[in-house]
Amino acid sequence: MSNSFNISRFRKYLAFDLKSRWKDQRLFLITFAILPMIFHLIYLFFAALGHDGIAALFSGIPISRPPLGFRLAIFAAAAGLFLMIFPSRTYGFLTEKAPGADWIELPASRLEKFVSMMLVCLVIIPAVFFCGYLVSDVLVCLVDKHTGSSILGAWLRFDNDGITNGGVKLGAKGLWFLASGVLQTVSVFLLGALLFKKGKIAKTILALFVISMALSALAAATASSIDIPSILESLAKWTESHMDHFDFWFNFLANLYLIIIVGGLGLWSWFKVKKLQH
Amino acid sequence: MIEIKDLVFSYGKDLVLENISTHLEEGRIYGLLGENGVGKTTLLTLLCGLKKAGRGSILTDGENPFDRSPSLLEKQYYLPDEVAPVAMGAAEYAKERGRFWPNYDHNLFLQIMKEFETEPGQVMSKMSAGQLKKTYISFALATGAKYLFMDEPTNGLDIPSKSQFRSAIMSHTSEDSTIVISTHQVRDLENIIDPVIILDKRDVLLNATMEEISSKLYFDYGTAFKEDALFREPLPGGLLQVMPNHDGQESKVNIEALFNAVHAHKALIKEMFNSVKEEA
Repeated sequence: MSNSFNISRFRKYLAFDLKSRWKDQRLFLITFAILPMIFHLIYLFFAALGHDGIAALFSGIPISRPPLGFRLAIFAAAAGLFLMIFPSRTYGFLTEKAPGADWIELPASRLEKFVSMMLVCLVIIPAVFFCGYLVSDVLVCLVDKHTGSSILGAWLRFDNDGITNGGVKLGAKGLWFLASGVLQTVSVFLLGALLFKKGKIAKTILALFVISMALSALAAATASSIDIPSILESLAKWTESHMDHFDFWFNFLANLYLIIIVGGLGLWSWFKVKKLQH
Repeated sequence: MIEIKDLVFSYGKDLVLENISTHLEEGRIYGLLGENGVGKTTLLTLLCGLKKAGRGSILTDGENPFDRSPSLLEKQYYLPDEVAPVAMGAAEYAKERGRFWPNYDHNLFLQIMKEFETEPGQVMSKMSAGQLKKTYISFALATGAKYLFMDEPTNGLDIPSKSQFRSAIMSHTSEDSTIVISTHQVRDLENIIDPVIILDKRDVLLNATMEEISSKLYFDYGTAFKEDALFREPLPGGLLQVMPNHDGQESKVNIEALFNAVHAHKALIKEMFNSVKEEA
């Protein structure tokens, strides 16, 4: 049996990992997934207070419902918060002495444990959260007919050509851009969960802030020493000459950026996991 | 077999282990003794691959533990001093994790839990420290691991549990197992550990079997004052004295007295026991 990667051992480990993470995080995950219901009830409560009090809820008087745009904003905020918090909740224990040692000593290879961690963090948990959240939102709209369209319904009805970004058609109705954002956010906060022993989320945000400030300063310093108008001009020329394949180039560069960012962060996480000591 | 060669380990600039060379044989229960802070836990964590050696090497059956290869991990189990209070039932925890050790025996786990009078259905995060320790000891023994590393396993155990622990170790480990127990509670484990490893700051002072110890040192429990005693301690109605065994007399080794004698005469003891190894 290979010491690096063995499919049957990996399957066994993945099942164990999923089961353990579900046991630890189910309450947190379910709470975030049913946020549309919780939010809807809170909204109705305060909207009713603004009318004739709580009794208005049962009197048949029409009460305003949260509009789709508002629900989308809540969805974006909840998703952002969830994606920042869950990596440290699910794998932050690796930096703790007793549970971290327990994890290292479990007979599976480092690669199997790492691949399982990446699958759980980058794919499975976000997928469960988004599905759960969107289904909850659909249920709210089904139960309370006055709510209007669900987020999922609105998204499905969108014309593919309708979602554009500066004239560029986004793949899969923008789903790829959502996935790309998820992958980047989770990769950053997972690395933060592995690097910092305490205050994982706050320190990750702080590190991001410091890095972005440093990059901005670097960009400003670079901008002052180069001829920006000529660069913009050549960029415009290049865009013009590649207009027929602009979608291709745009998506190619976006994907390349994603691969570099997620790949780099993933590689860093791998080395951190590989060298983990207790 | 575990081979330790010129092992060096430090925490930053604080050197903990320096050029340690020794070996651990199969079928033995090693007692790892030493004062606070000499590096007993560090050595255990190095042996099971939780830490990386600064210099030198550790080879367990020819493999470096820090490589953490599954083939070695499934042959070993490390029981730390502080164990994690997992929020799940003990039996469920053991069954879930036990699948990763090929020799794991769930019935044995339940049997040892019964011997320890601990309820296997109880949620581990709601257990007392002693119950939690007994759960982990039961699991460690049920894994059927060839190499067991235990850090202060009797800490937090009540008096009956300490005796149950000794009997569990003796009856539920196989003949080719190598068990390394780091402890300050020498009296709890006096009757089961053999050989004894005494660790000093950065060095191994002694790694000898009880037979070797009793052939070189004589433990006198009489009343007569011996001039050549390396260590002397008053006992009710007499004295316990440790002295060189010039006449090859047999005596019962008292590990606590041995530890004190070794610490009082480090160079002499090292020379004495190194000559035993060379003769062997």
